[in-house]
Amino acid sequence: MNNYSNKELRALCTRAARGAYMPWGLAEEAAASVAWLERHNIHAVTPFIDLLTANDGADPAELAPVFGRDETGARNRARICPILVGSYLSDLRGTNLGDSSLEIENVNAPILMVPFLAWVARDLGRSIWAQWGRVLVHVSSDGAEIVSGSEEFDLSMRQDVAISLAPGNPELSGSVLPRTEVSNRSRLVLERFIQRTLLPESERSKASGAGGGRIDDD
Amino acid sequence: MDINATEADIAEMMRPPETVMRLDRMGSFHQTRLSFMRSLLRMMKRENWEFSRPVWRIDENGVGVAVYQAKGPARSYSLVAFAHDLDPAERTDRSIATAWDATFTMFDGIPTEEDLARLSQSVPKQEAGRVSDSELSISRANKSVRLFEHVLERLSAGQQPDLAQIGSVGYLMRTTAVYGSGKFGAASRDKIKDRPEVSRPFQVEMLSVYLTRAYTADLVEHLAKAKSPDTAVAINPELRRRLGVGNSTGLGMAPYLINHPKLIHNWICARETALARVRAQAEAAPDKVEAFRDALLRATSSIKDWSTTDEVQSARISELSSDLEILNAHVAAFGFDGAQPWNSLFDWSAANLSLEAQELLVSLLIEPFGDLVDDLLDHMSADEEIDFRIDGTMDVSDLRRILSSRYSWAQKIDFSDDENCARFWYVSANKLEPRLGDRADEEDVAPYEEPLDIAHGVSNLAGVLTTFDDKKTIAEFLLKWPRFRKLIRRIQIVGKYPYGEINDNIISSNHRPIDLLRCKLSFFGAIEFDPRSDRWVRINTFKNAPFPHELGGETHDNWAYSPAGEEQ
Repeated sequence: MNNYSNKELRALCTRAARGAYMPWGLAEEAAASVAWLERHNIHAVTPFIDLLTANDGADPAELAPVFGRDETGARNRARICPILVGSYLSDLRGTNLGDSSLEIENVNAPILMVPFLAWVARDLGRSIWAQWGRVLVHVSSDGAEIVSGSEEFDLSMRQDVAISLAPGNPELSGSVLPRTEVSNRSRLVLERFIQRTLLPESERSKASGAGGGRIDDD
Repeated sequence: MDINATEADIAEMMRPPETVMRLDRMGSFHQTRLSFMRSLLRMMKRENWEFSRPVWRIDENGVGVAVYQAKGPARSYSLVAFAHDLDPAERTDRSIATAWDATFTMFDGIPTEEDLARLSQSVPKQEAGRVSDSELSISRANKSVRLFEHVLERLSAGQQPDLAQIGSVGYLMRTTAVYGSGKFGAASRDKIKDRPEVSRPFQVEMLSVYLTRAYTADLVEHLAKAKSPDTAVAINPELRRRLGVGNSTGLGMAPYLINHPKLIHNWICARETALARVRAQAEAAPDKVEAFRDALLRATSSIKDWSTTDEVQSARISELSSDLEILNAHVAAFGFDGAQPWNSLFDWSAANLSLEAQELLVSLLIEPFGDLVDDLLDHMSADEEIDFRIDGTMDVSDLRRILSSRYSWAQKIDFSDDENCARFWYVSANKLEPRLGDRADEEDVAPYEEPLDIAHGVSNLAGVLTTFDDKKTIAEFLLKWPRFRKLIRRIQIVGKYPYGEINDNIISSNHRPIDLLRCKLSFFGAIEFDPRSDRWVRINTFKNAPFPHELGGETHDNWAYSPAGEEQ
């Protein structure tokens, strides 16, 4: 096992997301999502790896939800990136959420949307329901509670998600974890994605690189 | 705090980002009383911190472990130092090194023997090892063999080292990397950010380097005693204080200034606000004039120790020396009795001095006014999470307005000219460190390019925005163009924190990366910048500072510029 600080986990996930398919800004948001969930004791590294694997090499613009004129749902994509959905909802500060459900079809790894919903809950001062398959998550501004369906978590790769406002904004935060354990297997998968963002040094680049001279005895 | 000027006066005196945030000016910054080293020592002195060396198990060959403990009112921090016998063939400042003369970690609290045993397995490996949530930084240092050997020889023979040799090198060891929060298993900044004693930027790292300096002086005295127990002497305290601790810094530090716009805004804004407050003073009190003259005298004398083999910097130091003569003559004849005399002096400098001298004068103007500016230290940290989210409710026309007001410089650059995008930033697979490459040397840089090409990105974004309806929201725009998320987040941040953006193109062929390093290092409090190429630099830190055991006595707050022969 590998023990990471939240900051180190975030840096690792940003670069892995970039290596798979996400542009930098989205990759940072994906990493923030993973770090938030792990900090709140919700395992997110595996769904994140599944997401990167499923969408590896995809054009992110093709993974964005396309909302109908009434803004009640997005139903016309074969697969949707949860980070694009989450960041869109966060960008809008919840202005497109109401008591009736916003429905989005074919979302990969929807658990990764939850942190964005927590930020929106803070904007609105109201908690939010997120539902897919048999999973129901209650999200407030400072935490999230998996009300049902936690056993299906890691398997829920592509789901139809319904999001709606819930009454009140109860405190849901449990203990916050500053460190995350990541298995060797997961670390290796993340590193494989990361490797694609790193440029192998040539002799020329080594010579003109950033370091000091070869002899440093002065 | 006595601010003898209105807020409006001060606001009027603020230099605009377009003036300040240029690389040639940022690459001319000097340490100030707001620098992090100086604020750390000021705080520890005020709070009567206690220092001790509870562990010193270093043998006659210079191998072993030592612990330096710094005890503040609320908590203790301990520098754990591992001393190694390094094969000279392995001694290199480059990040490819795998062994060093000494390796360190800053332990949060007081380490037990079990902790020391654990750390002895990981700290000497540096990046290749893993530390834990109990550690706040890791670092390493190599000897300046030339000076270390000289001091060792002299001390063991019962003689004092040569002042000129100390002056020409400046330190016994130089650190080659200091890794702070959240790296290689160390604790995240979250763990310490609410502790008043280390909440200001880089205080743990500065404390680590400060205690490292004490270790280097103790080590050479220890080895001299081991070599010649009957004749060895300790270094004369005045000479000892002239030993700083060096640092060798490459490109790894440069992207930091781009990646933390809000934090950099806070640093620069604090410095600019301090300057504006001084400039806005209606008159000059005699004690302030005297303190300013003293600061000028000290700087003039100390700058004489600054030497480099870099042609560009060497010419700049020569020009600075000439300018200091001009400045001294001007100040000698200056009456300080007109309206806003500090501002008059400042305005004169803009027309008569080089950038190096202008920015040194900024440091000198701030120096006497601790009562007026030191509160700004509490505004130099940044909670960057607050601004992480994009405001997608903003409409496209609002974003365009920020681009017009903050990025007109970027939109004037012609990126069809290869020279303007000749370089690209990447992270090397070999060392996981940022590097600067030539775009023409690579077939396809896209997978590797780090998002530091701000001006180029702004130019592209401005083009795409013309195809989008002004009334649409940024959220809608980003759903279609997710590749601009990072840049738009940044633009919104810079809209609020305008000193957060460097108004220059850092991928052009004529950009000198060391300007970025110089700016950051000046905020640390470094002096004697010695560029070794256009992309790495050696510096000196804590030179002339009181040692930990001296901090409780009579010390001069402006220790960074201390003429030879002065008692601290």
